[in-house]
Amino acid sequence: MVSGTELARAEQPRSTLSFVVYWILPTALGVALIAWLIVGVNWSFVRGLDFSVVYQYRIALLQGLLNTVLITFFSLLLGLALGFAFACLAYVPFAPLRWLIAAYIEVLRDTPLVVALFWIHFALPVATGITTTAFESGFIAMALQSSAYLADAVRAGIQAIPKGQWDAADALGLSRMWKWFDVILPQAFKIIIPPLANIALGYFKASSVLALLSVGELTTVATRISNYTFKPIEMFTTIGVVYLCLGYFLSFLTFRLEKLFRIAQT
Amino acid sequence: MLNKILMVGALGTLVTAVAAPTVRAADDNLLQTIKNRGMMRVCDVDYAPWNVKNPGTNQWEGVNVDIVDLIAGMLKVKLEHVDATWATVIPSITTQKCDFAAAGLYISPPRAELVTFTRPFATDGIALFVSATSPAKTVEDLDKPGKTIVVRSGGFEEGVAKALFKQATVKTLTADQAGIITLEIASGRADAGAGGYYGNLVFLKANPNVKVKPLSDELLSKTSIAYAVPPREYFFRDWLNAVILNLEENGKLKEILVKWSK
Amino acid sequence: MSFDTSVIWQNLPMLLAGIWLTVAIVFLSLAVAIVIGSLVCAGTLLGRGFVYDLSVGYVALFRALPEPVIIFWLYYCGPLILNSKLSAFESGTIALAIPSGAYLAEIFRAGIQAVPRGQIEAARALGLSSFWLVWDVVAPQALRMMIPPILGVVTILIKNSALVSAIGVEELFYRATVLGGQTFHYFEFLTVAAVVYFLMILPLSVLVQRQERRLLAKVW
Repeated sequence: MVSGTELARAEQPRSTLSFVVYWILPTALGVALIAWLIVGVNWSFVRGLDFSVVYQYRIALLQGLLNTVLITFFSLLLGLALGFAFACLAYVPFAPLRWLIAAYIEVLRDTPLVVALFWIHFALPVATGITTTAFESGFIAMALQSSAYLADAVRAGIQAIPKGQWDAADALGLSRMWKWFDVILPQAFKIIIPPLANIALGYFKASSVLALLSVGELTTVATRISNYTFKPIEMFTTIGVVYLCLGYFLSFLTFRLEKLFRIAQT
Repeated sequence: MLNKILMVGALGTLVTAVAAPTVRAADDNLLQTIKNRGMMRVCDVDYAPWNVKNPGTNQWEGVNVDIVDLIAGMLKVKLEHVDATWATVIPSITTQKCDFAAAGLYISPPRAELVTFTRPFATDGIALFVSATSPAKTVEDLDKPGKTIVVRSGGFEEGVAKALFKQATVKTLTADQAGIITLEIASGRADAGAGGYYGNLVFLKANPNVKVKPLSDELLSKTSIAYAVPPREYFFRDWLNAVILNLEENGKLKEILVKWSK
Repeated sequence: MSFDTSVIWQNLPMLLAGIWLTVAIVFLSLAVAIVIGSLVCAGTLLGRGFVYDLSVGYVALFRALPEPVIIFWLYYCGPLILNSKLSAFESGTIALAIPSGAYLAEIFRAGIQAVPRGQIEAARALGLSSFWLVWDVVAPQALRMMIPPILGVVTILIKNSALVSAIGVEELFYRATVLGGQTFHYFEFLTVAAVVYFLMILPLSVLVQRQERRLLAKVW
């Protein structure tokens, strides 16, 4: 199958219309964009930006970054454990339980994270008497939501294992539990690493949402400092860059991890 | 068989969760509970100079923080600060996220229905703030259709502003920091804001690059500041009253207020 | 556990107004996102050049940035650096449209590129000009494949619409938290908000799963 880029290149200007569409229009748009930027931006303000405030509050920002990493990592860990549990439970021959799990996953997927966060923090204590700190509420909310997506990823991974593996395990006479733990799950794990990495990346982004409850991760700290010093541009641009770097670093890690597993397999 | 057990277990947990008591019965023994626990949880709301979360150190500081440090010293317990906003401080007390609120909280009847207040130990007021270049001089100048008055959610000023401004729009902000109404005014999104007089002046003094000023020195409403304890914790409330009275009489309260008003 | 329904009935008009605003935000954001996505997708299809680099950079940048950061940046920094006097609603809508536009650009590109080459060659052999090629052959097939992921973007938009409450847009979640704060009945209002969001997203989610199953069935 041919890629769209080759498609585009194959469409050499055969008529005046194509010429306009492929060359004049994009160039004009590009020039217009740059012109708009030059005219629209308040350059005197940009010159007056004072990034020393980032250095001044570097400790707090680093703590915020640490909190982001910690809360995402551990809530994903719990989410993965829960996701595995749900994925395995989806195979039990008891229909109402399967239906309950499916309903539970659907509810978690179709609710915004921020709503779940606030519900756990403010409504759960009223309903059950269990009260949580902001950090705990954030942790639980992210773990529960990610478990829904991870359950799907794990289930897809399990289904992707060749049928031959199941038969071989049966032929070897392995009991049900050992079949799961020794044969199926390790292979499923290797298959689900790409979607797992995608979900992990998504949740590092999503951890920013916890700022609405002042959980203390990076965005909370940045908003706090920005309101305290009235320097929003310096703060938010900085954490934007930090999130980008974090994202690239994670993508890089995943790439290496995938390569590692591929080598181990061969 | 295993599946049936799982199902029953799940249902049982559900039923217990539903039937669990919502608010723990107030036994009027909070003071003893704190002593036994060895730790005291206090709610703070960002409002200078009473409680300010220093973004650099991530620690709370201010008048109430100093007082609460003294209290913790008296009881010989550790101290834990719980962040809250005007909108969330009362539910935080009633759901036991903290033992009591030591914030620049104003006494108001709706709040008094849900918590027990100590005696007031300071006064403040609600004032209107406008941009430094604003031509408005009176409330009538601001109460015009199309004008926006900004307030903090859950604060006393929300009710005051809604009652006062019949034609202008009152916009509520849910963010949890003290100076945000001044920031909204300074960025041009609001024509005026209503907030605590004392606290916002302190914020403006600390941030001279925020070009906002009070409309006038006239207060829309006088208010009193007190601590809030869980409902029906009368003994603890009386103990706090004794502490506050003591601080007033030996001059410590005045000393702390002066320290943080600079 | 007591669920005080009276406080909900008393404030129902306010809550419903919030739902209406959520829907407005989602529709407007989607409209802007489709425009952005189309432009960016066209840019990525160019294959090379400055506009191509810009488009690919746009997609990479706004898929990696968290939505709250984009929302806050536009709201707090917009007036200062771009001299924009956008209201919270407008700046929130655009802030939501920006990453959605990046997602849509990728979806459009994948959809267009997924149309089998054979279709295009056959159409050329039949003598169709470029315009009719796109209109009659590429677009219908690409669009059919794009519908599930586009619906996915709509669900993401609905979920993200709750975030603009932080800058004061009075949509459903904002109303739920503010009413909860005024009446101290967070439990009732948050539960209602959660249920409403779930009911809004559930049909879309079901549709997406059904469409995906149908597409797979067609392939097999």
